[in-house]
This record gives sequence, C-alpha cells and structure tokens, in this order.
Amino acid sequence: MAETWMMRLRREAREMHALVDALLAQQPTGPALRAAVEAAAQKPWFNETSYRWGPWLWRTLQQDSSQRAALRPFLLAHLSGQALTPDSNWTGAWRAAGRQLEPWLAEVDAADDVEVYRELIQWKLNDAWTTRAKEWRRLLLARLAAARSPAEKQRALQRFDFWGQLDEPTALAIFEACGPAAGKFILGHLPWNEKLWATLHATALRRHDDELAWQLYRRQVELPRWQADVRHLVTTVQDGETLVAELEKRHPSRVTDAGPVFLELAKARGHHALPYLQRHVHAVFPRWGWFGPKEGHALPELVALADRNSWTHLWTRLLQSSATAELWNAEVKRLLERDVSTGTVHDRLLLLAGAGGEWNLSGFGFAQVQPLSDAVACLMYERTPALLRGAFRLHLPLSASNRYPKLLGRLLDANDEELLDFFASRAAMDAWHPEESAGRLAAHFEALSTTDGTFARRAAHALSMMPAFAIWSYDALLEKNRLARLLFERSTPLYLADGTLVRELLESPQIHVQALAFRVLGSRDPRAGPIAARCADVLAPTLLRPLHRRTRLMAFAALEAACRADEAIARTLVSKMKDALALPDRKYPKEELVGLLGRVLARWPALRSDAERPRVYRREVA
Amino acid sequence: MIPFTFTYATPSTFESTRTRALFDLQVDLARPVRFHAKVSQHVLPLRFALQALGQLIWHSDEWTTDFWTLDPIVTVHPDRVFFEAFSADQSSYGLVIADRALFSPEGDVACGTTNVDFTAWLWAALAEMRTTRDTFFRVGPEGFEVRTSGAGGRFEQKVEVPEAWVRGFLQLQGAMAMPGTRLSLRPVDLLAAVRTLSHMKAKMSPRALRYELEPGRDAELVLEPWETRVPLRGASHSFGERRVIRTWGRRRLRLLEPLLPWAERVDVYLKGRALPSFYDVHLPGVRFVLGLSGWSANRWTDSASFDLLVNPSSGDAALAERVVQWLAAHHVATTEAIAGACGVGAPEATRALASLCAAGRVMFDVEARAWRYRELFQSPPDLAKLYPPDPRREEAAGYVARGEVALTSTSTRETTKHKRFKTPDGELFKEVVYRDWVVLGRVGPQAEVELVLNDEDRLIFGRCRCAFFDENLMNRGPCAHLLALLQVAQPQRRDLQSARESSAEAVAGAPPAEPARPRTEDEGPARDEDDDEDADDVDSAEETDEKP
Repeated sequence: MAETWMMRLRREAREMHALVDALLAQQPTGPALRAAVEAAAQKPWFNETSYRWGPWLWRTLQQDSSQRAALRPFLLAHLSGQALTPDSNWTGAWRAAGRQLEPWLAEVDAADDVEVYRELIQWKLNDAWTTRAKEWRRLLLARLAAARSPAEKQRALQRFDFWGQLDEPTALAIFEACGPAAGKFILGHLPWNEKLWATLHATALRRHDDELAWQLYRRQVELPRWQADVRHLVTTVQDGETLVAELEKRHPSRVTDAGPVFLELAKARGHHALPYLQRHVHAVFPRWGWFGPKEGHALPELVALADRNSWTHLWTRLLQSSATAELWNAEVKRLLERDVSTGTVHDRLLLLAGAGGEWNLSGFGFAQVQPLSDAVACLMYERTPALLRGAFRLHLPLSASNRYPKLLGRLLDANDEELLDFFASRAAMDAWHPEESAGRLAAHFEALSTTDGTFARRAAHALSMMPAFAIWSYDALLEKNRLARLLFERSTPLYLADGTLVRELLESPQIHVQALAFRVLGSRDPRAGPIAARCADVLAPTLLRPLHRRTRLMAFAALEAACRADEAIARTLVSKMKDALALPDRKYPKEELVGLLGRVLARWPALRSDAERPRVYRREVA
Repeated sequence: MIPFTFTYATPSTFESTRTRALFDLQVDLARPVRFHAKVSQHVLPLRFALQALGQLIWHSDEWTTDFWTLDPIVTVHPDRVFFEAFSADQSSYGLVIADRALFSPEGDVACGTTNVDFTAWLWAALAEMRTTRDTFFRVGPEGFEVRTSGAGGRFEQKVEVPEAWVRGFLQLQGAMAMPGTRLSLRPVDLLAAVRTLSHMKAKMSPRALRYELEPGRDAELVLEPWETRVPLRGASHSFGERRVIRTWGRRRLRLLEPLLPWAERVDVYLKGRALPSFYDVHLPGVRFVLGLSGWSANRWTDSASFDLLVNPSSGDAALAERVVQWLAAHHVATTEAIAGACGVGAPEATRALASLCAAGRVMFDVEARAWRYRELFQSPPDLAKLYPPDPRREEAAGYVARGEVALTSTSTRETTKHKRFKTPDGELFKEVVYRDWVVLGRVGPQAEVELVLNDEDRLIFGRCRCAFFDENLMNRGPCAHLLALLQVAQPQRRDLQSARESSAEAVAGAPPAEPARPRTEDEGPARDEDDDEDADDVDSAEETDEKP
C-alpha cells in the first residue's frame, strides 16, 4: 500500500527526532558542527524540532566563537515556535518542551542575547494565548521597572519588540520611563481601531514630543474629533501658512469621508487652505451604493465651489482623482458644449486629461485614469479631434465595458488613420469579446491597398503600438480575433515592402510582434536577406536574450537570412553565435544553433577557423 | 524622516507618433536645468539603459512594508548626462551615463542637477522609443504654456524618505571611490552566471559569488554552493598571487540581464570581500553602472558602515568649500587636479571630497575615476541627523582620551609601477611609487591591531582580535580599536616623493615583483587597481621602515 500523507508525516517526524538524538549524542564541534547541522536542516521538520536542538546549539556557539559568525544566522533562521513531537502531534515549542526551556531562557537573558530572548519569550507567551497580550504588557513593565539607565530601558524595549498590542496605561508608563525614545516602540504596537489616547497625546505634547503626539493623533483620531479640531483651527489661526502646517499635523492617516470637512474648510478659508486640499484630494473618493459607485459626500459641491472660485488645480485634481467617471465625463461634456476655440476652455480640457494618481510598487504600478464615455468621446471628436488624438487618447481604454461603437463608426467614416491604428492596436489584443470592434476594424484594414504599401504601413503602425505582456494566449487570440489573424498571420510578405517597417516591428516591446518580424525576415522571399542584414544590430542580441524555443528558432531563420546576404555581417554574427554556445540555458536549441553556424560557414568558407576547415584524407598512392 | 518637496509644472510625458517621439522629463522647478536635444544616435541603448534604471527604482529583494523611492536625479554636464536612482530596498544603485555625443542640443543648455518626475507608467512608455523615429529628449521646467498636447496640471509632490535611505545614497559615493580591483568581462560570461543562478536555486548557504584570480590566468567566477565555475575569458588581472573575492546578494545581478545581450563589455569593480561591487555595462554610447551592497540585508544605509571607512566630516570646512566652488566651475576633475588647483596634497583633497560626497554635493564617477559636481539636494541636509553619533566612534574616542592607544611600529610599504605617460611632448616614463602605510599598535585590551592606509589615506586593510572584527571583519566598517589607532596614527604620516625617472625598457621588461605579504580572502579590501589604465604597468614592491 502506498504511503499516505499521515504515514509519511509520522515517519518523517520519527526520523527527524532520531537525527536530533544522534546530533545531541555526538555533540560535534568545529567545522563538523556546521556540516552536521546544515545537513540536518535539509531534512523535513528540522525547524519544528528546534525546541530540542536549540539550547545545545546556542550553548555551543557561546563557547566556540570560531563558528559563531557562520552559525548564528543559521540558528536565528531555524528557530521555530511550532513543534512537531515524535508521535507527530503539532503543538507549541514551549508546551512540547515542558519546563526544560526555562533554564535556557534564563541563560539567554543573562547573556543579554536580545534576538534569541525575543524568540524564546514569544514561545512562552504563545503558550497561553488568551492571556498573551496581558502577560506581554506585564513582563514589559516589570523589565522597565528593573532597568536603571536609559540604555537598559532601551534594551528592555528591544527584548519585547515583537507582535503585541499596548493599552493606554502601559503606553503611558513606557513613555514616562523612556521619554521620547519610546515613541517608535509605542507607535509600532498601537492596537487597531482604538480611539485616540487623549491622555498620552496630551502628555507627549506637554513633554514637547510633538512627533509622537501628532503621529498618535493621525493614527487614532476619529472623524468627529478631527472635524471639530479643523473647525477650531479655521477660526483661531489667521495666517495661511500656519493653518496649512496645523492641518497637516492633524490629517488622519485613515480617512473614510473627508468630503464634508474639506468643503467646510474650503468655504471658510478659501485659498488659504488650497495647498492642503490639493495635497489630500485622495481622501475624498467615490462610495459604493446599491447601484454601483456614487460620488463621495460633498464632492459635487466642492467641485462646483472650486470651479466658481477658479481654483483650477483643485478642481482638476478632484475630478481626476476623487470623482466617478460619470462626474468627470459630465464636466468634460460641459466644457465641450462651450466654445472650445477659446484658450480657457481648451486649457481646462487639457487639465482634465492625464492620470489622476499613480501607485508605483515593486515591479508593477497602477494609474488612475478616467475613461471617456462613448457619447462624450464622439462629442470631443466632433468639436476638437486633435485633443482626442493627443492628450485624451489615454482615456479611450477599449474594454468589455467601453466598446466605443459610435466613435468607431465616426472614425471609420472619417478614415482617421491615427485613431483607427490606435484602436486596432488595442482591438487586435482582445481575445475575449473581439466580435464587434475587431471585426469592423479588420474589414477596414482588409479594404486598404496592398499594392502601394498603405496596408503594410498602417498595420505595422498598429502593431508597434501594442504594449509588452498584453497578449495572454497567442493561439486563443488567433482563433477568436479576425483582426489579429489579419495583422499577425495573413499579411506576412506585405511587410517586406519597406525595411523600415520591419525594423519598427523588431524594436517593438511586444514579443509576438517581434516574432512576426523574425518570421518575415526568415521567409524565402529574396527581399528578406538585405533587410535582415540592415537589422543585424537588433537581430544579434536575440542569440543571448531569453526567448521561447519556438521564437528563438524564428530568430535563427532571420539571422541566417542576414548572414546569407552579407559576409561582413556574417563574420560578426558567427562570433556571437559561438559566444551563445557558452550559455547554460537548458532549453536553448544548441543543436539548431550549431546547424545554423554550419550553414553560415558553408555559405562563407572564408569565415572558417582552422578547426572548422574540412579535412579530406586520401589513401596514399604507392 | 527627511521631507523633499518637488514642484513639477506638469507630469513627465512620452509622446509618440509614427515618425516622432518626445521624451519630456519635467524637472523640479526649484532647480531648473535645461537640456533640449535630438537623440542623433544610439536610441535603443539609451532606451534599454533607462528601462533598466526604472526596473531598479522599484526593485525590492525583500518582502517589507518599508518601501521608499525618490524621483531619479538627472545631472547635465558639458561632457555627459547622468541619471541616478536608488532602489526601494536600499541595496542597489543605478547610474546611466550618456555621452553628450549622442545628442544634438537645441537651444541653450543649462547644466546642473535636478530631480525629474518619473513614474512606472512613463517607464513602460519608454518601450515606444524607436530608431525609426526622430527622438527628442527634453529635460526642462517648461510647463503648460509651451505644451500643445500634454496632460495634467501643475503639481507638487511631497516625499518623505528616512534618513537611512538618504544616508545610503550618499555612502555609496564613498564606496565608489574606495580602492578595489577592476575586471573587464565579456557580457556573455556574466550572462551565463546570471542564467545559471536563475536555473538553480540554492536552498542552503553558502550563496556567494566568488571571483578567483589566479596569477597568469584569466579570472573565474564561482557560484556557491554548487562550485560551478564560469570562466571569464579575457578578464585579465595583474595579481602576482592568488586572490579570492567573495560577494553576496547576487540575485540583484538579474537587473542587468536585459542589458547584457546588447552590451559590448562589462567592467566589474570589486571593493573587497562582502564589500560593495559595481558593474559597469558598456552599451554603444551609453553606460549603465549597477552598484550593489555587499549583500541584500547589508544595506548601504546602515549607519557606521561605509562612513567609517571614509569619514563624512573632513574637519576643514573652508577647504571643502574651496573645493566645491572650484568643482562647480569645472564640473569634473581628478583628485590630483583638484588638489593642485586648491594647493593642497592629495590626502587633504580626498578627505574634503569624501566629506562633500557625504553631504551630497559631489559624486564620484567610478568609470572616469573623477569627481563631479552634483548637488543632490536643493538645500544641504542636516549632517548630524544623517550621521548620528556612532558608538564605535565614541568608544574609539574614549581609548584616545584615556591614552590607551600606543603605536608599536609604523612602516611604509612601497609598490612601484613603471608607467608610460602621454604628454604633448611625447611619451614620458616614470617609476611611480605607491606608498601604503602600515601601522601596528596596541589599543585598550587589544595588544595587536594593524591597519594599512593607501596613498590617499584610505583604510585599505585592517586586523584586530576583538569580537566585532571576528564576526564582521571589515564588512561593517572598522572596529573601535582600528578607529582609535587610525585617529592617533594619521597625523604622524609624512609624504615623500611619489615618482622617479624610468625608461621604456623598464616599462617593457620589468618582472613582476613579489608582494609584501600574502593576503587571504578574509582580509580587508584589495590594493587599488582601478587606476591601472595602462596595460604596460608592472608592479614591484619593497618595504622600508620609517620611524614616526
């Protein structure tokens, strides 16, 4: 019978405990110690037995400083509060060890080893989960009470600097003991959703620790208190700069509904408060109702107020960042219905274009862009088409909810190349609902002349606008999207009409567009070779770039065409091909690369090195 | 936290049509720099280098909630344009160097340094740069009034970044100027190492990247723990003995992967075991320099790390001011040129430049081996806040104050190199003498403390028996004992003549000499090879005693 997961767990737990027994019996030292523990760490459930080997390893490292530098990070990385007992039961490390860990904790404490102490005391506290928070606070206060110097108090805080939530009396006691140096610790252990700790806030202000006082305020203040404080500031602080500084100090880090407060502030202090309001427009945002998103409280009034007073930048920021798409479209429409030839209206429209906010994170980012509705886009195309082609093109995201059927009809009627190419670049990537827009655009592109190069020029332009990583499944796209089939598969030889177009495709960030260029250059068409030779600088790096096997083989064909056309190009590429043989990529088609190399050397025998010249052996004639 | 406020007229944009592309970088209005130009050549390398810089800005090797980024810094100089950025995880530094020959300027150029608005969206839009289109590059404060199709309105961006982040940015300048070893690699060799690392996952230590330098052979790269060797063909060096340099944090080398297929060569600057390393990728017309801290967790930003190797306070504020004023007028110069212009010796000039680096007023161009005027901040930062009192410095000061520092011996270790200099009157042959100063002493409880200073008074080697040195060697800067010895010994150093007459025969035929003592990988940084621009250099060494 095959081993079940439970049987496997039992076996592995038994094996690991036996291994730990052996380790503790052998007590290796010196280099053997490192080899033994690192080998054990490769086996499953090593960390979960740390309550057994941890005390021994820690004591050994205390005595053997030669191994400490290497093995201390190992020890810290493998200590685990979870324990797996020999009979494969899961429990906490402290409970599994019984009271055996108490002496170790005392030794660690005496040795002032903060990092290991922090780990062990967490094991101990986690053992009694219901009283954990209370016990953590009690131990912390006791330790602080025993500390004499400021340095000892800081060490006490370091020992208990792990997950735990303070209450106000404990926080006050810590602040009394450590003063401003405790700020970071207190802020790091604030409970979630707690009301403002007014006593601590007042104490910190009294002790001139403004940083703690106001950070505490910003983290904990609730809407009514904040609103009252803002009202108070509005009436008491006359100077504009001071008002902004005071408002900044009090701006809550979690705001659920800042609209009414902002409106009140804007009405009362007008331009004095503008820098503050502009900086925090994100604190007003759409709410979710039964029928989808609706405007944040007081936002329409705030927008109207900004417009009446010509606070242009606040008006822009509110519409771009805080309004729903409906309100933004309504404002765009209102402007378009006025005389767009006047500079003011034109400038105001320009201000409404662009991203409202951006959040850039590691490896990806979000941008908040309001989409134009089909009706407003049509109106804009009618009144000021240059704006739609320029700044507002960003606001035409072709998606399931925004198909722009009317706008597309107008563009097709007007044969607007620029916007049609843009729509084609988006529609040709849509594998989900391509029927309407992709079908209409495909019909338009099919009707373009192929003889004078119009089709190739327009198609290459549309393809080159495709962004990277935007095609999920190329095969599914070809299956469902008529426009994609036309641009990617049915028109391959047409692109050879102009070498510049092929280069445009090669330099695209979209890999499927690049693959199309490789296919075009690798074809048997006599025009392909000279164009490939002119693009050799872009083709050569494909030997080293990470490509799928299928794409790389297409690239090889293009490289071969370049080599066939020009000996000098072939000389450069041959050396790069030999370089590529050094790559360790497991799926790299090295056999095909050697084949390519052979064909190039056969075409240009002068490029062969001594070792590559064929040797012909003949029987000696007597 | 240090607050930075940038005011941009509009967001930066990238506009592209079928025939034309405009890369419009909006600068901080408080520090206007103007550079409008057409990119006349090497559009693709510029695009790839800028994309790599963008990738670095938002790169983080750690799962952390602390995520800080600052808009990139652009410096326009008469000979080059620089883009600098620092990664979110505070462990990588990126520098794009574009030759001015790439650009055909339009209108007046206003040199200087400023921050530019650079977002993830703009980074993605850079992919639309093409050689087939006329590409225009615009760095300037022009706002709404001159735009015809731009977007958005005037906006002010306020960013607060921690002191540690700013300190890291500044400290790496010190690290770039540190002595080290330079190797020239073929891009494919480095790529082979990067790809090997992406195919194989090391689940246990050691996970270092080891450079092995055998005399008479090209260098080799060894990937731990598999001991996979990547031969670095053509990566020659002039060491007369075996040297091993280990570096960590190798995953960050993947930042270079998109650039390497397009690169002509890669220069690697190694500063020593677990110390920073710099990878200078040469693309046609453009260079991308990636600076890596010793390992990911050993950020640039830890206080008391590199600033202890290069003291942030020179002590001579007047000299520093003189140096910065001269450099502001000339933009770029070597240490020697600055020392000559300011009428001081190279060590004094180096100390002043290091302190200016630490204050963000100059930068070290690792590739040109020269200092450049670059004001990182609009107003000078509070250095006391950036470099808080350090316990090791305080401990060292305690030893000195209590008179617990005694010098046992000091000696000068000479390394001579026969060099050929090109002058307007023809070639000149000189025997250049590099004098390392070896100091032995007793500090507090430590009976044997040794340090070696190079010509520019930089600490290049140290040895102590204390626990701190045992655990960290020099990776986290010198221990308190070394600092105390340095403090006492430094004023006693004497300068001697550094060059003697030589001949062409000596340059061509002098045998490599034995070094003063063998060095193991666990010791401090290496002898400076960065200055060895001349392939005809030959080392020889002798040791002379010099009493204080």
